[in-house]
Amino acid sequence: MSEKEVIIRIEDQNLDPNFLRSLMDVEGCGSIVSFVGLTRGEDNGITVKRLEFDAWENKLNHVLSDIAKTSIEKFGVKSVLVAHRVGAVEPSEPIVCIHVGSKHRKAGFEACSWLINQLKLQAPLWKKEVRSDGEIWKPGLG
Amino acid sequence: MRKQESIDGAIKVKLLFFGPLAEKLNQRSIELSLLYGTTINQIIDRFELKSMISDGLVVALDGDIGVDLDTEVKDSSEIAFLPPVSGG
Repeated sequence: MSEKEVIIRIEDQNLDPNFLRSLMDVEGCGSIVSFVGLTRGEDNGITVKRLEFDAWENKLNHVLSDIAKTSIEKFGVKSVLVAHRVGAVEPSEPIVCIHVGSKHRKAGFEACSWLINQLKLQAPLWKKEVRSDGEIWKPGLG
Repeated sequence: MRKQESIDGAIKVKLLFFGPLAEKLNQRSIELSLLYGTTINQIIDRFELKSMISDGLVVALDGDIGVDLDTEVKDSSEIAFLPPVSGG
């Protein structure tokens, strides 16, 4: 697996999905499936000012890399990029970006969906919602 | 001789806390001296984290996530306490 087939980015500043996509090896691909998760500015009618992400940064890169490599083996896709923010993420800003390059779209969609589910299950990240009525740590899968 | 045994019987470990647990304890990491043979469960008791285990707290020993809580820690071990994750 080449360096350009699995790319992991942990960013403390803005994620740029288009720039990240340009880093990928898509030679021979007929499809790029992307998922970009954003901070929602409200939760059940309560204003969300921002999300704050804590991470076990020494482990996070390793976990995301393992997930990405597994997705390539499991779905036969060509290349995978996974990027995640840490620190404060304002409403409408990207939190997470996943790109999957593949020959055909079906494998790309399946891999992309699997990747975000696995990230939510495994990645050592913790999300705090800073709201107009206080602060809460979001429990589990959100 | 007894004094020497006491020195030989001590190990140093590092505890890591994340997310809501770091906020609750107001600590990100702690260096701790322990006796040989101390288990992760004994550290959990000392820091009163037992109730958090049933709420999904997972422990990593030297990067190995989900380790058996009866495992004895070793000198220079890094023990990470991980509340349920919520990335994405």
